[in-house]
Amino acid sequence: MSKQNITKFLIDLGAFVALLIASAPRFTGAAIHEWLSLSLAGVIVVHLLLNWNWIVQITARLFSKVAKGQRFSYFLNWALFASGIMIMLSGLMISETVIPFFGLSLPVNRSWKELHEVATNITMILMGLHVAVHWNWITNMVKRMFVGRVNVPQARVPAITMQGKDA
Amino acid sequence: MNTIFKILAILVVAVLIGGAFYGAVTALSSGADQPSLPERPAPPEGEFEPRDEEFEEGFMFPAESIKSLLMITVVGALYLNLLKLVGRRKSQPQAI
Repeated sequence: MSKQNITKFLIDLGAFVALLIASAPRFTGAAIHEWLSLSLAGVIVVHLLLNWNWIVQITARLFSKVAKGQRFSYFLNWALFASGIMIMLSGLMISETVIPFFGLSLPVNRSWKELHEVATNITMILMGLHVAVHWNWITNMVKRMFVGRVNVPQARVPAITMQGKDA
Repeated sequence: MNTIFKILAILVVAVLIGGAFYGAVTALSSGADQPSLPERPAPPEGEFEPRDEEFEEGFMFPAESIKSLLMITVVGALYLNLLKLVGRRKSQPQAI
């Protein structure tokens, strides 16, 4: 199990938990909701940097020799990226804390609020697909990090290569 | 390709997508610059005006987080079971 895989797993786990917390503004309050969401954007950039090689490889041979699953995953990730940007944009347009913090004010438009809710629901659906696509990698990592040390013999655990984890 | 260039590439793509969204939303929503929320008269001086109900103070049950987790779980489970079903059908021998 490489160090980079552990780093990826821990960053993804942290981002997932942060996403769940940030998705409950009534629970956290506006300030935590907005600042946590903004910091999540930074984590997503790190996530993309860690999976940069996969993105470049699939982009380069998208219309030639790519397995169906990889192509599906690639377009799913683009959709997730776009919906994440939609959440950030609409969230900034209706911001009560972040935008005023920078001394800015934006025109009030109710459609941004509705779009924020729609984009959140779309992102959660896409996130479900994203998690499902990488489910084998996630379960392997959990087994190797927590269960593997106790019960599973090292030789029986299938090796995880960098290619096994997509963006 | 160094890390800064990669970050710049991600940010440029994000700005392009965000700009396209912004343009589409402002073009499609009529009177985007006008406040669409109904104007309320200001409360008399010294009188308390409650904030937006959405962000009340105090501890609340994280229902939205559970809803999000539920959505992710259901979609993920459906996808994985669909894959299994398709795989099982493909592996079954054709009846003559």
